[in-house]
This record gives sequence, C-alpha cells and structure tokens, in this order.
Amino acid sequence: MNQKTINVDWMPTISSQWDPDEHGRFGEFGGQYIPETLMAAVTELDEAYAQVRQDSAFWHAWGEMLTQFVGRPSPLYFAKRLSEKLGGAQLFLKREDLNHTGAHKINNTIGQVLLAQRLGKKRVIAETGAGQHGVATATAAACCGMECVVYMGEEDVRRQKLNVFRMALLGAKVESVTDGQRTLKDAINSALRDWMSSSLHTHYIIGSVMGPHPYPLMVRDFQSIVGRETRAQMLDQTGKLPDHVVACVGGGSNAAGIFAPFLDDENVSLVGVEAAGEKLKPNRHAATLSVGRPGVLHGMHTYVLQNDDGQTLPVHSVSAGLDYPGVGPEHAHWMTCGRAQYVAIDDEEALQALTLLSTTEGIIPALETAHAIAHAIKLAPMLPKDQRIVVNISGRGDKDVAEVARLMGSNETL
Amino acid sequence: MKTSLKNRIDQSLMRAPASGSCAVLPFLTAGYPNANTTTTLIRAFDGEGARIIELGFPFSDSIADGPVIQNSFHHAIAGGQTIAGVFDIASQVCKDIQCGLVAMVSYSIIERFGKESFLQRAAESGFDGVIVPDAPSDLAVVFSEQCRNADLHFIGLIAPSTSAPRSKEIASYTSGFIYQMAVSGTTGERKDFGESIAEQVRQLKQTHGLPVCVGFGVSSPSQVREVCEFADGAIVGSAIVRHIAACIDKQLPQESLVTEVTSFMRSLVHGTS
Repeated sequence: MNQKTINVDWMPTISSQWDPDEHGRFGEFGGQYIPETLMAAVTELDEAYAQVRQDSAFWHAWGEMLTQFVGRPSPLYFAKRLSEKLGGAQLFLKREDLNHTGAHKINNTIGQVLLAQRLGKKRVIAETGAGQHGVATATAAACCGMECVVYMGEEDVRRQKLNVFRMALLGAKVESVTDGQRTLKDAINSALRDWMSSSLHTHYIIGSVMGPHPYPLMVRDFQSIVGRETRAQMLDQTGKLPDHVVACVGGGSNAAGIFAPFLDDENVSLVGVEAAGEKLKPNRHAATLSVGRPGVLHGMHTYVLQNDDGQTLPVHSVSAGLDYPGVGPEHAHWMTCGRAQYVAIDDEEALQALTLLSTTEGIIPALETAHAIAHAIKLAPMLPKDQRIVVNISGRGDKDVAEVARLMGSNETL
Repeated sequence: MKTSLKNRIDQSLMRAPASGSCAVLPFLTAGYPNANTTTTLIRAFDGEGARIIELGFPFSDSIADGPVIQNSFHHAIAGGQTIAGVFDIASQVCKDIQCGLVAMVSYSIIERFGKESFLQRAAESGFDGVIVPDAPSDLAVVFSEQCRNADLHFIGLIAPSTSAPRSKEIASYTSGFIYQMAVSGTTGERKDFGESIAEQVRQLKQTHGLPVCVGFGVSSPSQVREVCEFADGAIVGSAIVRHIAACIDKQLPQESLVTEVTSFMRSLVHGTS
C-alpha cells in the first residue's frame, strides 16, 4: 500500500460548530486576557488569520512546504508486534516523529512563518521549553529567510544544550530567561513582553494551542493536518474509522491536531494524556486538566495549576514538553462538554512505555509521546481484537536519549 | 450604572488646578521587600504629596510588567506576601492617608479570589479604584459596572497603539481617570516619549472629559515635568521599585530604605512645581 496516495485537503475542514465565538471563546474557555499594549497586534493577527483561513492559495503554499520540505504525509503504521504482545485492540501509530525536525511542531511553525510574511513582518520570536518548538521555529525562519529570536528559561538552556546549539546553527538567537522558575512559562512571559514593544515588525509564533485568541484556533488548524491524514489513512488501510485516538497533552497542540477532524465522529473516543509526574504529588506533576481548576494564565481562561492566591504552582514531568501549568482552552472545553477525556500517566509508566515501543517496534519515541503510548498499553488489553487505537507519535526520542540514560541509572555521560 | 461615585481619586485629581501642579502617582509593590516597609512607604509618600498611590498585587506571571516590577513580585511572593495580606496593608493605612489608593492587579488573581468577593474586600480595605491590565475587553463593561457598584473606580488603560474607536470604547466604561501608557511595551523606564502621546492625551481629555494620567516609562523628575505639561498626572512605577531594589542590594535597614525612596518621591513631586 502506498502511503503517499492519500488525498487530504490542505485547508482545515473542521465544522464551524467547534470554532470559538467572536470573542475567541470555546464555551467558557479561551478569550483574550492581555494588556492593552498587545491588543493592536493580536487584533491585527486575528483579522489577518480570519482572511487567511478562507484563502485556498495560502493553504496551497503551506501544503507545498509540508510536502516538499517537511515530508508529509507522515505514515500511519500498524504496530503488529506490540498489538500482538498486548493481546487486545490493534494499535496504529501516526508517525509525526518522521517529520523534518522530528516532531509535529513544524506543521505550525511553517504556517505561522508564512502568515508572518503575509503580514509584512521581518522577525519572528518564539518561546521554547525543551527546545523542540524553538528548533522548529528556527528551521522555518531559516528556510524562509526571517530573523529569529527564541526565549528559553535559563534552567532549560542548561538542560537542553543540544537544542540550544541546534538553534544557533540554524541562525537563531537564543535569549536565556532568568525570571521566575526559569522554565517554559517564564519564557512565554518574556516572549510576550518582547512582542509588546516589537509587534510592528515582529510576529510571535506560539508553539501550542494556547495564549490569547486567535492562537488556540490557528495552531489547532495548522496541526489538524495530522488528524485529516489519520482519518484518510485509517479509511484507506482498514475501511473504518478508529475507535480510540490517544495523544499526549502539555499545551495540547498534537492532541488538538489529531482530535479536531474526528470531533463530529461521535463513535471515535478521544483521549488526552497528561503528565502525572511523581504520581500526582503536589507540585510534582503537570496534570492540569486532571487536578487543576479554571483560571487565567498567559492571556487565556483555561484550566490552570494555581494556589488559592492565584499564583502559578511549580510543575514537574520527566518530559520537558509536558511541563506546563496551563493547557489549551479548547481542551478545557472538550473535557467540560464531554467530547474528550483526559487521563494522567506518571514518569515511571512513561519510561516503561518508551522502552517497550523501542524494543517491540524499533521506534524510540519522545518522552512526551511515551505518555500517550503508556495509556494505549493500558487500554489495548481491555478491548476486543477488532477495536482500533491510533496513538499520535508526536515526536522522536533522540532529544531524550541522554535523559533516559540518566534515569535508567547509566553512568555514562552521553 | 452608578454615575455619582466620588471618592479620594476624584478629590485628589481635582486638587490639581488649584495647586497649580499636576498629580504624581507613585506605584509600590505590596510586600516588597515586606509588608511593614510598604505601609511605611505609603504613609511617607502621602506625606510628600502623592495624590494617588498604586498598590501592586504581586503575581507570579504578570505579562504587563517589565523585569524590575516582575522581580519585585517574585521577591514579595517568596517573602510570603499573600493577597489577603495586601488587603491588610490597605486597611492599615487607609484611615491615615489623604491620597487615593488604587489596586493594580491581574485578572488572574481576581478570578481566583472570586470577582465579587475581591471587589467587596478591596472596597472594605480602603481602595478607591482598580487597574486590571489584562481584563478581557468582552467582559470589561460588566466588570467595570461591578467595580462601581462596589464603590470602586475602574481605570481603563489606553496604549499608543490603541485605535480611536477602541479608545472611545475604553473611555466609555472608565471612571476616575484614564491611564494613558506613554510607550508601547511593558512597564519600565524609557529615555523619551513620542510626540504623539501629548496629542493623544489632549484628544482624550477633550473627547471624554475624564482626567488623564500618563505612565509606563516615566522615571525622572524631568519626565514628570514633561508629562505634566499635557496630562493631569504622572504615574511612576519601575523607577521607584528600582530605587527599592537598589536599597535591598545595598542591604540598607528599613529606615534608610524608606528615607532614600521617599527622597526620590519628593524629587518627583518637586518636579511638578
């Protein structure tokens, strides 16, 4: 079967009942909780994106880049050995790890760089935690000839030296952030502050389905190519839609991307997997939807991890990409209206899943992705053999090899 | 909507023409470096002729503020400053001061505390108004009414990039005064202001009849003087907090910190006469 024959629309085709209202709210979540100094830039973006959304020429140009530069479509791979081993439902893997730069992040950064060019901006900025979105932004900026600055917490700069150097090789400037906890949320604060004084010539590329409207909608649209391909590939390979779609959730962009095209398929269950870190111990997890509550952070109303004073709580996960005290507002909406459910997987379960997928299927997943695999491993044996689970393999594990070696007790410094 | 709301904010700003000088509005982070110093500074600033004091509620993830104020927030939170504690500071000083007291607070905190209880508590503690830099515009009309129903002015912010129709909309739900930001970006000090700010302020005053105070980037006595040529008040935030930070770095005792920072405040007020 030829993976390249599937035919999907480049233009997002999610039914408008799932779009946010005119204030950028998905149900009660989302909105624009931003200082007035950002309002003009966000409004400009909102208006530009509303036009772009209807413009087939834009999506065609984006699709060309995804085909020629990123290598789309990514395969949907039947994990035969793992399915047999688990002895239940059949597992299919959506291979976003095979994209250029090794994760789904590039679908969004190429889209936003093209949008920035259309807006006449010369410079792009981004935040990054583990460095994956930073690398994807630096890559898109390099291939389109734009200046690029990436904000990264000092703590993450120290832990992710390889990605810091990768961004430098791509011509981006990495700004080390020394505020607060010196991690992802502080990098977002710094990038927003940069944008307030630079928005005339700068576009801020947010890396997930978060932040003020229109970001959650726009990033979901760019990532929804993952779900459209998965849908077409499942129909092509099995003649049916999947019964379950499983994806990890930090901010939630890979999950939103693979879920969105299935929203109207009521029989397809959608499961987001958060990081339970150290078994949901206070301040040692990032399971925002599972144990958080509604609040406001980074320009959006969503589920957050806050104390009773409204101060953001520390978060932890073995995976730097899930280590975020908020979550995309659309996920909060899907959970509240019952369309998707959310579960949490701890550090240990994620590591075991990473090992199992590596040895059984020859695929080393990212630690983020390993959370989704761990849930599928729990789910599959409970289901009959004719049921099908798709797991979004959102990223490859190369970036995590040194950390995994350390966690497994290796004394070698990689 | 309550239209008759008059409190210390109105009295403070009305004093301006009579005394021949415009108002100075200093900002303090509550609990920086501790609650006791904050109460002492509020009283001292009032004594030096501050017309309105903005008291900042420390927030772990404020996106509206520059590094100086953000660091003071983190310092205050780490030192144990709570939201209830900020209300205590206000309650302690409100009977002894002449100047108005305004809460500068993120919507995140208000939402967590509960909108109505926050506003009620703020009013009971002696606040005269609130500035909420990240209030969402689709809820602002209703929220501003809730503020006025609690006897608090809702002070709207206008940026250099705010369009004329949007300025009009913001002014329509603002009371007390309009907060005009002098520069784009976050709070912090700048060398000069755009020519257009003076024009923007004149237009606002003419169109809406509300006092207009200018902040963001106002950091020295000469800048206060410059702003006072066209505005009703000059708001000084980061520069004051930076003075406090410098005293903390030098490990000065509280008394010397208060003397030093108050003397800077005095120089700002004298800049206006």
